[in-house]
Amino acid sequence: MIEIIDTSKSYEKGKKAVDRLNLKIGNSMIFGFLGPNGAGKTTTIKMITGIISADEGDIIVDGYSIKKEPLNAKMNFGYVPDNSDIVWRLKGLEYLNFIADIYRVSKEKRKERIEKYSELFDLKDNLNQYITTYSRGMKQKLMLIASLLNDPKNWILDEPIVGLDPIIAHALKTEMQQRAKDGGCVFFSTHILEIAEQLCDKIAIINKGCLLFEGTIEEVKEAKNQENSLEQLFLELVDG
Amino acid sequence: MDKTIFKLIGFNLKQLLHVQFEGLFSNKNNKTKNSKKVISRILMICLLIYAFLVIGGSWGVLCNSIFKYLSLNDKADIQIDGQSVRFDEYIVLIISFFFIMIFLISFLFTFLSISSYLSLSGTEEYFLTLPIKSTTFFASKVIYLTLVNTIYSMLLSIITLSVYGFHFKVSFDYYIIYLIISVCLNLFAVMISIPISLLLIRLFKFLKNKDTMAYLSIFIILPLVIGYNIFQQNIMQNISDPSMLNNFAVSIASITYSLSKSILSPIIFFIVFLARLASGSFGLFRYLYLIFSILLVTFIFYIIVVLFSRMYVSILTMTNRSRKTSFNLKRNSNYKQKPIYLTIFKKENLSIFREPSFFLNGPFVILLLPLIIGLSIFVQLNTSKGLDNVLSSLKQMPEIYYIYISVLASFILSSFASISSTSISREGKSFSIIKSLPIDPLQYFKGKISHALFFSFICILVINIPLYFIFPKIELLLFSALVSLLFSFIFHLISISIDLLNPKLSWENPVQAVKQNMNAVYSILIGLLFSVLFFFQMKIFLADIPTKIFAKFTKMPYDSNNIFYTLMRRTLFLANGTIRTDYIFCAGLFILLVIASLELVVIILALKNYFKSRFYKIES
Ligand SMILES: Nc1ncnc2c1ncn2[C@@H]1O[C@H](COP(=O)(O)OP(=O)(O)OP(=O)(O)O)[C@@H](O)[C@H]1O
Ligand SMILES: [Mg+2]
Repeated sequence: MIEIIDTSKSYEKGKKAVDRLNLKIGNSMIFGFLGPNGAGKTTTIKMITGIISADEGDIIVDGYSIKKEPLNAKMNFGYVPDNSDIVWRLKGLEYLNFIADIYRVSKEKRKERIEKYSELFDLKDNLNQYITTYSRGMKQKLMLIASLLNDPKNWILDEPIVGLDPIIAHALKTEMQQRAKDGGCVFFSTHILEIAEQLCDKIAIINKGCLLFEGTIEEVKEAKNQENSLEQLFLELVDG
Repeated sequence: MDKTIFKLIGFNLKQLLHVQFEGLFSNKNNKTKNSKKVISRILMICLLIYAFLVIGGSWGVLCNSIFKYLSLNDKADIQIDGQSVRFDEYIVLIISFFFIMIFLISFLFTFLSISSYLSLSGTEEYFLTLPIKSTTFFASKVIYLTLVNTIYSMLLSIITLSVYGFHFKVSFDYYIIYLIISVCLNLFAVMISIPISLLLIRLFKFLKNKDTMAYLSIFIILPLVIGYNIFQQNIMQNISDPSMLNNFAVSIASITYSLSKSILSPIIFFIVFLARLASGSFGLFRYLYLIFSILLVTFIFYIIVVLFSRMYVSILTMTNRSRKTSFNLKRNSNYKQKPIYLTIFKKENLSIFREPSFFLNGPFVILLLPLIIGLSIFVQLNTSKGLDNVLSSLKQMPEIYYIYISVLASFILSSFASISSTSISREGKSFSIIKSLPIDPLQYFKGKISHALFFSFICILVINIPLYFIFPKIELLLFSALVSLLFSFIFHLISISIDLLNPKLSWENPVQAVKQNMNAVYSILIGLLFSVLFFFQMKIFLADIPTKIFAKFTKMPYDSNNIFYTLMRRTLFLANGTIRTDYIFCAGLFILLVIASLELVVIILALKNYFKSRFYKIES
């Protein structure tokens, strides 16, 4: 459960990247976060995860405010960044162990999870390799595994599908659905409307930092009542 | 060749200058940015001037003593290797010797740096995809390499020739000729170096690896630096002795003479030719020969660009194959749980040892600096046979100096190794990952500081073990190690706070995080300041305060100019075990320890909140 309350952020004076955003992402659902380039999706996700601080408002993860109780809030989510800038000279497994240490995952649990997810995302043969030699997709797979090490209730992903091959993308989608079914909260940003339509229980569309639409996929379909209804809605809201 | 060359060179230079000067402060606030930029530029320029002065100065003194001696000589023929050589030829041989050294420096710099221009950065990969001719691409690289690698050797050759010109009273136009000769000489060195380097890299693919080259460069440059140091110290000691200078001059002339007969003769031939031009042997024909040498160097440049541009591009696109190691994910030993600060400690340690630019600018300095200083002191004392004298007078030194030396040296080593002063900057873009993880800032800093202290511990060992041979007292060793460790702790806390204030997180190349980081410079200044403060602190706590207490007890009025009290302070501070009983001395040391611990606690308490709030404020 993630609550974004009246949150604003500006990088330059007078130009808001995110403008008084209110969103509530409940449990047992996949929530799609849509918007054109530069809409403020990454900025919002970075504020949720505490990488940048909000100028105004607050964000609550499972009851913990990221401002007031950052450690508890961070313990309750797993995060996959949009571009995986790891500059540390670590091997894949060393990185995973580092993350697991920080989440205080026990030896048995981390072994089980690393084995499971590196099998699922097909990275187990590369875990002994330096991250700096990884391809873009491999880095992303590593970040996916790392984000699942503490078995988080909330899973936050910034454009996770971009750069993954169809098999891994499928595995990821299944994992997202599985987590939502088990009562978790999955929040991800994307540009690909088909994926949003296929996966999401709820979506939100933002542009220039402002929320334009929030509702369930059913509501979208009812409102437009035609094929490609999400695409129609998106074009109408953003273009028109 | 077209205008693209200049655009490419300009692009490269702009990037270099940008990382040197612009990226120093990532502060978003424009007002403070400008003043800080000015300060950092001034500091940077001061450092550059300082480096020029140190390098140019010692070289200048060397040239000066030789050319001064030669200009006062009676210009008779000289015997070299059993051959009689005319005096003007003799001068040519001596100038050639300096030229050969300068040639060697440019040659080596180019060789060592070329591999870092061979691994493609993102932008360069992009350049390769553009329709730029490979000759244009390569020519721009060659000119850029020349500009970057010959700064110091240009300086040295201009100094050599100006000193020569000054003592031999050449006419004014020669100084312009000297400038052109310097350019020709260094360009020639780069032109010879590039094809050899490219061929070597082609043959031995592992040389393309930046890491390998970084380590290789240390093992090539280090002996040279130490060798030059020893060589120069020898000269300096004999500078006033004409017969020694004469021997020296004859021996360097004979080195050039025999080199010119060796397999290197074509290269030496051109160097000697330039030296002859500089020496004034060509008289009025000098301009003709000058134009000839410019044409020759340009011709060589052209030939090399045409012949080697293909090879350059093919090396650029060549990749290394690494060996595959067997690995079993199922092994239990792959998984261990560690406390947070220890896992941060481990990550720091792995990255500092695996990243050559971190290692060579960090831990390596701790071993290198004492080695160079120790070796040059040793050589200096050994040649003048004063080592025993110095050792015995060192043993007479007040024991308090032992502690002072230990603390001072650990400050200096710690600050030069810049382990704590770049510890946040080294995280680079990955700092955002750290921020998204549930890491308690205090745990994070605990990990960072224990990592810095680990290296301080090594520093202290490196310093105290040799000191122990001078003062074989184990309790002194332990005390001084402990005091040094405590003060290093304080130093690291301050230096991490400085880095935390303005970390340099946006770098592409790890060298930028450590070498082009102003925080490292600030921390060196603070280390120096600390050592001065520490001296006064010792004086106050070990001498001034006890004397005042004594005055209070004996009810003798305290006056700092009173000869009795002055003596007492001095005795307390400087006297060694013979005058002061060990009992008082140990009490003094104990006080010092207590004070250090108290200071540490105060500083930790003062910085705690700053660490916490600043950690959350940093946005890359
Ligand atoms: N570090 C930064 N400094 C200044 N402005 C920034 C910074 N990061 C983002 N912005 C600005 O904030 C706005 C929102 O950017 P953001 O990255 O959140 O967009 P996004 O929705 O993730 O876009 P995309 O779909 O392209 O990933 C943009 O106008 C961008 O220019
Ligand atoms: Mg984005």
